[in-house]
Amino acid sequence: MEPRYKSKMIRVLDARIAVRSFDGRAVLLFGHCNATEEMADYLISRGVMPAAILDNSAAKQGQAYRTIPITPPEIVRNYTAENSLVLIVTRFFAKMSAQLKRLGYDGEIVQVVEYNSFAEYSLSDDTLRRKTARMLRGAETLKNIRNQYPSPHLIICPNKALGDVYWAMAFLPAYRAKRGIDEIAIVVVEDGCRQVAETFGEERIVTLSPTEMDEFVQAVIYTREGSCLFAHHDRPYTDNIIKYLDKHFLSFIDYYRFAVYGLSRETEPAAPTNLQPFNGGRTLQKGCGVILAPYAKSVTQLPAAFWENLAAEWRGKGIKVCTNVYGGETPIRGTAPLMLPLNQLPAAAEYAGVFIGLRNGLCDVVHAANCRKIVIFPDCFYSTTPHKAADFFALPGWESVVC
Amino acid sequence: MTDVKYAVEHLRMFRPEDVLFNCEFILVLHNYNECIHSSFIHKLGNRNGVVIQGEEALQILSLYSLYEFSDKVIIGSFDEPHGRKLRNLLDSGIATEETLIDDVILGAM
Repeated sequence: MEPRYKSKMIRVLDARIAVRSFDGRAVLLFGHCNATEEMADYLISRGVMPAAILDNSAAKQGQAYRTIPITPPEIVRNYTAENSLVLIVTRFFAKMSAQLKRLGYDGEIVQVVEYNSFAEYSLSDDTLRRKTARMLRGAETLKNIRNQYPSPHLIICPNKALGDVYWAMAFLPAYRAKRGIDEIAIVVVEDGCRQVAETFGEERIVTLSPTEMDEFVQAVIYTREGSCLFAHHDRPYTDNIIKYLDKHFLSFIDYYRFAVYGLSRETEPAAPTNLQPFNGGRTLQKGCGVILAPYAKSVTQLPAAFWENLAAEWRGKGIKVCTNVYGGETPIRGTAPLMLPLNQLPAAAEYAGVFIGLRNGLCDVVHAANCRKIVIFPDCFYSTTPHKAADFFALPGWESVVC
Repeated sequence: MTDVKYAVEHLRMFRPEDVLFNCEFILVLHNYNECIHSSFIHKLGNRNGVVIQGEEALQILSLYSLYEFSDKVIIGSFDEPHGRKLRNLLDSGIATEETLIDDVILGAM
């Protein structure tokens, strides 16, 4: 979960704990995913034990997370407005809330974090007014982008996620060749995604804030903007390619090859072309170092002790261990912080010799690096799908550990 | 932008609340597709549902392009609303039309 969403989640839960909102009520969580697990962890740490995690996936039902049973949503029929409430921390709040109401649940349904500005199950004047204003703001952004880039094909990377942008860029040359597209411009969210696009030699890049991107995407949809592509595996909401995963399997990388770009099985991804040499040689020992990347937002975090033990193991072999950090992230105890522009990270991994990452976007960024690469997967499902994260996010050529 | 504002104002006159309230699923067929239509009817069984075509389908499609206002609405298309890339799975040979209709387009049913 992104730090800004996690802070919001903690504020909402703390406020409810302060007024004893959970006392004497069954706390039900809806949607078993990484964010829900983080919410469960936080509630348990504050002495609130959720009664159940509701989930529509038959593959998850019957299992448990930290002894919390994962059950079909229909069990809400056993609860009343007085003795229960439901907490939702996924971006499918509107859909899940509507489902619970259809099941006859009349208790409180709490949107712990607002992830999704695209969905609101209402046709009230107020909703229409707000959604119209939102789209019109996006249309202004679109107009400004088109003033700057009137003719290029727009490749829109709508989500702030390094790995999503990496694979969107990796298959872009094949898409351009197939479609005969000469000029392109990339639209991304925030600086990290811009850096990833730059590693592929892209120069025409527009960087938006997350809010600006949502509004811009809505305007592109509404105005049916031509000559553009949403280069993402499950966004925007008008696309439904991710639903294929409900009953079939396609890996994350294949989503970009097939579903996003419509390429053939033989198509190979391109490697970044604009990487920079590593200039932090004092931090690492050449050929005798390990870079840890322990933070992720798409899969559940592993306990700090896991990384501390791993670091100690490598140090015991006489190898220097660094933690790649960004923003407010802290290095794993016993390791040195390593803060680099993304275009130097592959070279840094090659310089050190070993890269070990929790499955996160940095793993994608160093994917083409020629070194020993180990990816750690928590044993969890990808989002609300019935597929394990280790299967969906598998990286060819990496040593893979599930724990 | 004046055109966009006009279109939205026009949309405000069209309120499909009654249909949304009374049905479990609403199939919007802007461009008629026999396979999607018949699969919808088959999957619907005894549940309440409606198929909307023609001008009303265009209105709903336009409103749905402004925001996701309901999870009961199924846009019966491989390419619409704008931004849908489902046809790529067909063109890549990953899935058949029948699979995509049953498991993706009508996957919520």
